[in-house]
Order: sequence, then structure tokens, then C-alpha cells
Amino acid sequence: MVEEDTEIDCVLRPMNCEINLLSRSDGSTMFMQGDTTIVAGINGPMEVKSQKMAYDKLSIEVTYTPLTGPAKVDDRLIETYIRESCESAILVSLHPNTMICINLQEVQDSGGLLACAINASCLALINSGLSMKFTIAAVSCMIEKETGKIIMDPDNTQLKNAKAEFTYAFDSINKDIVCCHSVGRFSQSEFLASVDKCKQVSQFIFDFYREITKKYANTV
Amino acid sequence: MREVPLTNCERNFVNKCIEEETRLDGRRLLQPRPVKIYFGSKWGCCMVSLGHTKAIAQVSCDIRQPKTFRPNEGTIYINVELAPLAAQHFESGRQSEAAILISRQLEKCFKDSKCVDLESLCIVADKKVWSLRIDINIINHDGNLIDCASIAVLAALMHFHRPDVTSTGEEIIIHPASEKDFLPLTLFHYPVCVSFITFENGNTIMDPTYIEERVGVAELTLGMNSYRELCSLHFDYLTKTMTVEDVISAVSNHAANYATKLVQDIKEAVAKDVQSRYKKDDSDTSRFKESIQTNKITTMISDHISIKLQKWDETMIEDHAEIENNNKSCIIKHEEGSAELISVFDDSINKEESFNSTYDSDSDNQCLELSNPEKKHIIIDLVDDSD
Repeated sequence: MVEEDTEIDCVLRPMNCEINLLSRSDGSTMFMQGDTTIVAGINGPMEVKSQKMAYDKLSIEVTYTPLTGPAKVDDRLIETYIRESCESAILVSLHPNTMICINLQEVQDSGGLLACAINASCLALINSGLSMKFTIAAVSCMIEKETGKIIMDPDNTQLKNAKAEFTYAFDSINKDIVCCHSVGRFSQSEFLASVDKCKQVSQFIFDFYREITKKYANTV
Repeated sequence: MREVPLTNCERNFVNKCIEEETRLDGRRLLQPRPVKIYFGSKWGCCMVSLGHTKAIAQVSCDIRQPKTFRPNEGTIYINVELAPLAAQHFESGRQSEAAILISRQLEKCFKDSKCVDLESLCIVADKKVWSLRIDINIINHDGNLIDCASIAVLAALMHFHRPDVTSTGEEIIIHPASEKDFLPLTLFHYPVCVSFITFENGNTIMDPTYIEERVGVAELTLGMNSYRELCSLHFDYLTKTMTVEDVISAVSNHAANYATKLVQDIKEAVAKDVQSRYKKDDSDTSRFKESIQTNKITTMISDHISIKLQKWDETMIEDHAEIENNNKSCIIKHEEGSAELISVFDDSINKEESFNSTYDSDSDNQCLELSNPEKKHIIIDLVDDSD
């Protein structure tokens, strides 16, 4: 059982990113976690169609384009997750009667696509300069079928023998869960264990945000 | 959102610049922007940047029944996606006129010029053939989408490898990469598109940027291969009244020279990546990772992050113990904001819920909502069982 392990080492795949790479978006980023790559671009705040207008808050539109073929149900699910989590992070009441568009393009998928997409959209939001209550960081993990071990940030080959897969997004202030997605069967204690581990790991992603923002914001 | 109209100032400025044979980005009139190609980890996936214009192409294949009038030929389908990521005035979901125009030009250039050996894609005549699908996603629109897309398509087609198949009369076996090596496509010739824009004053420029595209009066796209043969041609007036002199003969020679050089560069880039994959040598490749430059101020490259996690077990086990002993304390301990919102269910529902908790994805509130010891026991038992 997992609880009997005394010290657990885990390895995150290398995170690489380039900020501001698209000339037509107000904020953009290409974010890589291992081989999983997402390009995200933010436009706005801008004029909104009357049927989508909200008089008291910013409305958020998310479009996710998969690499091949038209958008499927899973892609719509990613859109929903990102819209909901970004809405909780952005100060929506600051820009009433306007909207922003978060556009995502899948470039490569080798595991942890949802986590990568959430992180990419958060970095793009930081880059676009919208006021936010907090930043969000998503971490994915899985439970191995045979050993029951929790593996952080798994890639495609590891995911093949997964019993369950989780993606959590945390806010940067209270480290509360903003978004949670899971696939597969798991017990309650396994779930709580994975939440706790991901919460600790999320700190490293927040540090990454801070470093990249520091790097370019100092010289602007 | 509608496209932002071009101001008169911008229009006059660009026209004046072109008249004086200078361009906004400092190029000469017939000078293209630099091309960069990066490959993905899968076969047939590449990202091409032409100046600021960026496109991603992915080739995929599956087995289909052939068309009845071509029973021994595979099929190609080209799909261009103009998402709002490329420019805000593109709408997602619906195929715009611009997207259809680009797909049609690419079809003319690649499909109708018969550059792919479609007969080699046949498995069983009249029954099973490979069907290729090329998806092009534009991620940044800075003019000349067609050139960028055509480079991406050519690089992706040259890079693509399909699985090997063996046909045993009735059955067809598709071999995975571990059994038989994937096979590259056969290309007879290598076409690319080269675009020009003509201005009011009669000057013609190559590889226009977005603003130049909007000011120009006539556009010309030539599909040329490395043997200086014309594969496709598209000429269109962008305004109604202008007439331009014969542009085609003026620039075709330059286009052919450029196409030859460009195809050579693409071939080299593809060959280098394919070789490195065959040798499984990752030292000097141009993958997506390499598109992020190390020394730029807006980039960040990190290594594997190794983390020593705190012990989860002790605190949590204590918590569990507390859950078992005293349910009230567990609510205080685990409070995640959502916990209080859930009212106490009646017995039957709760039992059902607790059974679900082993596989239900949204069961994070399970341990929090318990308020009476009996139900608690059900859960604990379950947990023990499943462990």
C-alpha cells in the first residue's frame, strides 16, 4: 500500500515554454511538458456579441483545436474545464460587457494533455496582462495497475498500465482544488493520497510561472 | 469579431514604401522570409514558420474502400483549419471562404499534380486502399498562408511513414512498428507554392505579409516543383478596377529558382530528421523542443524536476483514524470549500454513493459528507476491500 512508503521521489517531465510567440494574439505561449505541447493564445477583452454578453462580468470563450480532424466530445470537455477554471481565476467583474477568447491548439499529445492545456492557458493569461485573483497550476498523476503506486506527470507509455488517471488544478494562494478530472477506478484513500501529492508538486509549477515571468518582466 | 478595417494612413504608407522599393520588414521586393521547419515526435507531423506565419501539418492514414472509378488508387484529403488562434476574425467550426480557397489551391498543387504515388497505397484492388488525410492548422496569420501551408504539407508528406501491411487473400494484417518498419510514401516530384502580390503602381513583391496582402491589387500563386515545372496557378484581382500587366512571365523564372532552392532545403531538413530517427540518435535534431531558443528572454527551458515529496502517510493515516473515531473532526480537517454544500442524503442514496466511490470520478466529497458512524463503516470496509 502507498501509505507505507516513507519517502517518495517523483520526477516531473521537463517543462519548456516560449511566451509571446504569436504576433496576432494579445498574450500567447507555447508550453511543453515533456513531449506534450500546446500553443495557447488570448485575445481580449473585446467587443462581445449581444447573446453572449453578461452585464456584470467578463465572458470567456474557449476554443480548442485538435491536431487532426474536427473537435470531438473530449475536446469540448477540455474547453469546459479551461473555461470554468479560468473564470474562477480571472477578476471577471473588472471587465463587464466584454469577452476574452482563449484559443488553444494541440501540437503534440503524449500524456497529460488536459494539465498541459490548463497550464498553457494560465501562462498565456499571465502574458496577456489580465488581472487575476490567483494563478492556477494543473498536475496529472496516475495509479499503476500492478503496484498501486502513484506516478506523477506520466507520459503515454506509463499511461498504458494505469488503473486510474487524475488531473487536478490548484490555485496559487490557498492551494485549493479548482478543477478535478479523473478516469478509471480508484479507492477513496488513493484519491486523497493523489490529491495531497499533486498539491505538493503544484508548487513547482507555480515556481516555473514565477521564474519565466520574472525573466521577461524585469526588462520590459 | 469582424476584421479590423485598414486605415488610409496604413494603405498610403505601404503603397509609398513599395513605390520606393522598400518593404516594412526591410526585405527587397522579391525576397522571401526565412523558413523554419520543426518535426514532432510522430511521423508526418511538422510545424513550419515563415516569418511570423506559423502552420502545423499532420498526416494520418487509415484503410478505406477506394472510389469506384479508381479501384486501385489510394485517396488524399486535405483539410485546412483557420481557427481564431490564427487571427481573431476567423471563426471556429465553420469552414470559411478563405479556408476553402487555401484547401483548393493545395489540392491543385498536391493532388491534381499527382505528386504522391497513389497506386502504391492500394492494398486490395476495389476493396482496401490507404486513405491519407492531411490536416493543416494555422496558428498565426501574418500573410501568405498558402506558401506556409504548402511547405508544411510537403514536409509532412515527405516525413510521413505508414504501417506495413500483408494481405493473405481475405485477411489484411497491419503490422505495428515493433514488427515491421514503417514505410515512407513515394513522391514523384516535390511541388511548393510561391505567392506574389502586385500593387497599384505595378510593383510585384514576393511572400507578402498580412498588411501587404490587404493593400495589394492582384495576387498570384504559382505551384512549382524542383524541376521548374508548373503544377498549379492561381491569379486573382483583389480590387475591381485595376488591370495589371503580365506578372506571370515577369516572375515565373524567379519563382522557379526559389522553388528549387526551397525544395532542396525541405528535403535536407526531412532527411536529417528521418535519419536521426532511424539511428535513434537525438543529438542534433529539429523537433518542437528546438523551436524554443535557449537564449531568448521570453523562453524558459527546464530540466527534469525531481521532487522529494513529504510523507503523505502519517498525517493522512492519523486523519483516517480520526475519521473512524470522530466524524466531526474530519469535516473540519478536510474542508475544501465544497464540502459544506452537500446536504445529508438519506440512507439508500448514500449507500449507493459509497459504492460508487470506488470508481466514480467525482467522489471527492465522499469522506466529507458523512455525518453518522454507520455509513462511515460502509466506506471504510469498502476501502479495505479494494486495497
